[in-house]
Amino acid sequence: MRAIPSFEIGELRRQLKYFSNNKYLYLLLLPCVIYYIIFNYMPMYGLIIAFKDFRFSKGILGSPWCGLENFKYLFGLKDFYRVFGNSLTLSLLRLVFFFPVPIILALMLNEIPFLRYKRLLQTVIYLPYFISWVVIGGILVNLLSPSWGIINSLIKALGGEPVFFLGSDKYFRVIALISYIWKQAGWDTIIYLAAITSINPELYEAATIDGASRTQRIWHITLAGIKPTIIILLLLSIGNIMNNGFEQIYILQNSSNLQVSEVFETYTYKLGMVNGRLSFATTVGLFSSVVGFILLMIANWIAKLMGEEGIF
Amino acid sequence: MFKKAISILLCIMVMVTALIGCSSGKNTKEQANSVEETTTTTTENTGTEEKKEVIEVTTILQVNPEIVLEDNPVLKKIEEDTGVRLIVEAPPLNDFGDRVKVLVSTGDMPDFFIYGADVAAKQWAQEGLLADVTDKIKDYPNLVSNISKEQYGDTMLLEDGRIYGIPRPNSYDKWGFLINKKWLDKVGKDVPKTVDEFIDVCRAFTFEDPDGNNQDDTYGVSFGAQQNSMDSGIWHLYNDFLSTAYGISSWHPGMPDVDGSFKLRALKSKYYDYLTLLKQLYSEGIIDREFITHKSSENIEKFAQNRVGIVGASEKNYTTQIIEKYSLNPDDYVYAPPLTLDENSKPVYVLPPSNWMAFFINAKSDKIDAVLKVLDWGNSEEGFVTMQLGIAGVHYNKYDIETRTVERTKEQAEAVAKVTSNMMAFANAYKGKEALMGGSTPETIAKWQKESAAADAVTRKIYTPFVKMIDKIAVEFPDETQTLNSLEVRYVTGEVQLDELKKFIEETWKVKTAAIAKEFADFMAKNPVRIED
Amino acid sequence: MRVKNALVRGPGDSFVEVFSTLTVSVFALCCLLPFAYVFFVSFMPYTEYLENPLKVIPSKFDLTAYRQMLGYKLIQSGYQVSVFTTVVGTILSVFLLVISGYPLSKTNLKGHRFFIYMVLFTMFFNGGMIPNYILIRNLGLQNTVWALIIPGCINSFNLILMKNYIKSTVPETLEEAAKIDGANDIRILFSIVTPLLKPAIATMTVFCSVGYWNNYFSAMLYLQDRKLWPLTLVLRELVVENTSAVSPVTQMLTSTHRSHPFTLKMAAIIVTITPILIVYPFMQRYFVKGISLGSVKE
Repeated sequence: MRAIPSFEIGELRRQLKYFSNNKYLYLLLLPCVIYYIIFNYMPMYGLIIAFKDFRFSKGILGSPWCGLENFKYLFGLKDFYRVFGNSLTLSLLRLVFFFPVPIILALMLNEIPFLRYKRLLQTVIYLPYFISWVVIGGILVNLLSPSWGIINSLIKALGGEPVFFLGSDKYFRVIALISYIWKQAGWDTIIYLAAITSINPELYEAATIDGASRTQRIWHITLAGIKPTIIILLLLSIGNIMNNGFEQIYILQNSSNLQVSEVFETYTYKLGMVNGRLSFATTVGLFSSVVGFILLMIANWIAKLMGEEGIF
Repeated sequence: MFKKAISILLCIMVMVTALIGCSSGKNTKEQANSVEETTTTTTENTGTEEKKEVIEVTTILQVNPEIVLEDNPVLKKIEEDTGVRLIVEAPPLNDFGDRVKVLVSTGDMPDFFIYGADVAAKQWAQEGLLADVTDKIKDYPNLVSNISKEQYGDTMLLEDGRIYGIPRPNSYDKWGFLINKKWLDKVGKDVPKTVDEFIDVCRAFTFEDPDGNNQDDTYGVSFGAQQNSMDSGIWHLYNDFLSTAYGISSWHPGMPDVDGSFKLRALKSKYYDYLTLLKQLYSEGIIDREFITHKSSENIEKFAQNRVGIVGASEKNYTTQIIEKYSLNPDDYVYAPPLTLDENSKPVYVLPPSNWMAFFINAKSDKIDAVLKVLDWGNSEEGFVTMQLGIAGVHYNKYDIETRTVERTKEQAEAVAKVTSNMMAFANAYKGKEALMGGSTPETIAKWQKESAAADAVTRKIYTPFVKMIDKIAVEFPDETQTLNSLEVRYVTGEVQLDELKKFIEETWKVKTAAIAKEFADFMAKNPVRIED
Repeated sequence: MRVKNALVRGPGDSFVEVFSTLTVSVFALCCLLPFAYVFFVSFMPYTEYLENPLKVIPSKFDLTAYRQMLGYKLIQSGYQVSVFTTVVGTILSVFLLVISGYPLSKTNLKGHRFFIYMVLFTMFFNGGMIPNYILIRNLGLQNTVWALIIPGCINSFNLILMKNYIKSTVPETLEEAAKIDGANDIRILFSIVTPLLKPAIATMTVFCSVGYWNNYFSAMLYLQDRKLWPLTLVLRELVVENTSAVSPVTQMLTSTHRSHPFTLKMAAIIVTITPILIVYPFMQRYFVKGISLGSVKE
């Protein structure tokens, strides 16, 4: 054993002092760390199925390795790239057209002068979140039916030709987007509303005295106040770009809009159903996780370059 | 340095948690051992005062949520008659497959369980997880008499001729159609027998306002659309009443082509004719175009709503599943056999052996004989009736196995729903017939008997074997399967020309599937279909 | 104060208020539609629905679906399990979020980045069903209510939001002052920081309770005993089309005694979301507040 150089002892002492100064903070974090190790990191070995030829009889650890065979199969699928493109298109559409909606709704809700009515409205817009996609899908089919639906009755009354919205690939993305806003936007306002409450009211007072108009206050105080929240949620949605939400797409999908409606999740689900390989699902999951994680890292880095807080 | 401190901390925590994990793992093992020890202990039978050997067998069954498993009289009856006590796990039916797969892959497989004979089951058989019961079946008379050799074809999971499970026998499924008789009378037409008559009726149903509301809101026919697999929206059993006229049955590849040979669906001689017919119906607007968006039974719903006049229907349960379920007036609707291309040919029912999933036995279980004994009991007359209808005298007063009619009160019928169901039963058919058939009122039963017998009298029945190799096409060529599906649908909807579809089939699909097509033809040569006129 | 406020009101204020109120009202109307539909259809005899699927107001309120549903034994046990897991799980979750969010909000704490990475990573990667099942089995939690509560009691997304909220809300000067007074971090957290977190705690309570209430996946994976099934899982089972459709037993009972599965499905939605709807306003008070403009504080 070599003697420990004295400067390192000094360093160690400093570290220990830092640690003891902040011991309560670490203590507070301890349950969380233990939780993550046990419930998230201990089962993480399951990811290796992606590199294995899974055998039910041998379990995850005992199954033979197969290298990148599963990935080769995935990337070798001819339709994979088109489906991947569909997924990205849909996600980008959501980022552009869905993401701002809850923010705008929250800002608007915040400007409604009648407190009771405001709470009522907020409760109402969060309701659709609790209704499953299957039911929403059923309602959409009834609303949009070319022969019996209300929308087409209106079109017919106005002298137009009925449109088979769900049976055509032209309308799929619009319907997916609008129904997503319908179901999700109200629920997502909650986060922004909570963030708005943390804005110091004195700021508004000061701005009012300075003669700032209502819109200026919304822009410079409310919006600026929730900017960190917006950025975090934006980063997380970018990381989520590979997930289109299986249920919604599956409900709205049919053979005639398959060209645009087949997304990563539905495609791999169908393949998983027919080939029955457990490793396949893990491979697909791992692939989209890696893509999502990398995108998140890049987005976070860009946010920091732009002088924003970022996630970490 | 700080990193070191953290890593030491983490190491300690990992060790601690691992220790916790290990110690509790040991506990569960001990528990498991103690359970095993008690499994074959003698238990006191309170009723008879004599000690009786009871074997405990663990199982996963499909159990309706309203059934109460505690003190269940049917499970008690099984124990009394066979000496086997079933420890039943009833996973959520929605996630049944997931749950079974998790249990199988973590070594928690019960002694036996119900599951479909799919790719996963095949893999389990390959890995030796499922007991080979080929040589044992002959010792169980009811497993021989109530389940035919053809039905066992379902659980011959590998190509080695061995049987890896006991199928749950079901009755044959015959697909014809149901038509709105009021509408027929209104437009002055007869029940169609040929495709041409059918088109004629569809036109009348669409354009002659059969419901008399002066609105253009009806169609001739609606189809079911297959959504949850790799099959395209135009192949569905609901559509078989029409496609069998062209020698194609959507899900039953064992139907011979018009020349008697066996080919894959897209290579059959009248394949393009059938698609072109659909295209014609679609462009004329005499079928409900929305059928391609259907997810489950919307076609039946539209039929019940009087929006369409014709819908595909299963002969064995159209009275219960359509007429009674939607509270329709039985006199307004008529069941008819499938259509034909011309007046001289006979309508065809395609009848592969019918099973409803199968029971698989854990190869490691030391109670294989007890399991087979229970399944044998479930296939006996007494077991079948008990598992379908409950206990005699309690859940029903009188049951006639010949006519499949039951005498029971409303209270008894409600009580039995909390005790058993045909989903939980070990057999859904005894000697080819289900426990109750035809409906809930004598009038409906009489109507059903009359109509199904009339359809039987005129139809040709083609009994086919289980054909499994067709599934390999979607597994091996997922992209080509998807492309074909998409082209088929878009040809019907008019977005794609016939040439494009033909070109794809001739140049790509046919080439890729050649080996499977050959395997299929060879298999059919060895396992010929039986035709009954 | 009021007077001062009124003085600075310009025409722009009224416009913003009217515009916001109208726009959100229209959106809310669209959102009310599916819910109202589900609500009314659940009381509608199925035959009436069939006549016109877009009919909204039933001719009479038919309680068959509800009566039928509440008659199931599993519904009663399901309610108990769901209420227990939701209450205990939410308390535990929110507590853990507060105590872990606080140290994570300290960007200058050594190891901060490591911990954040640790949390973020799990948002993307997880071991899948089989290792999780084995873990819960080895911990002896299998087939207990705790298997519904403990896995998933820290949601990474919520934790990040919490950390972010603490960071942007709690002024450091406040904590420094307390530190000078000799208070340790734990005391600062509970006596000074937590009171400032009411809106965040209310939000997290909503998120966690809805999460627990709607979670059926853990139950499917970790439970054998149906008596431990939470309500959502039970209801999900009851409305599977084929469970009730295939039984000859149920075939024999015509629609006067049983609801059509579709009506049952709608009633199931109402039964599931009502408890959440009742609790919501109590939490909503904390994050949907009176207008902060003009600061009419008292």
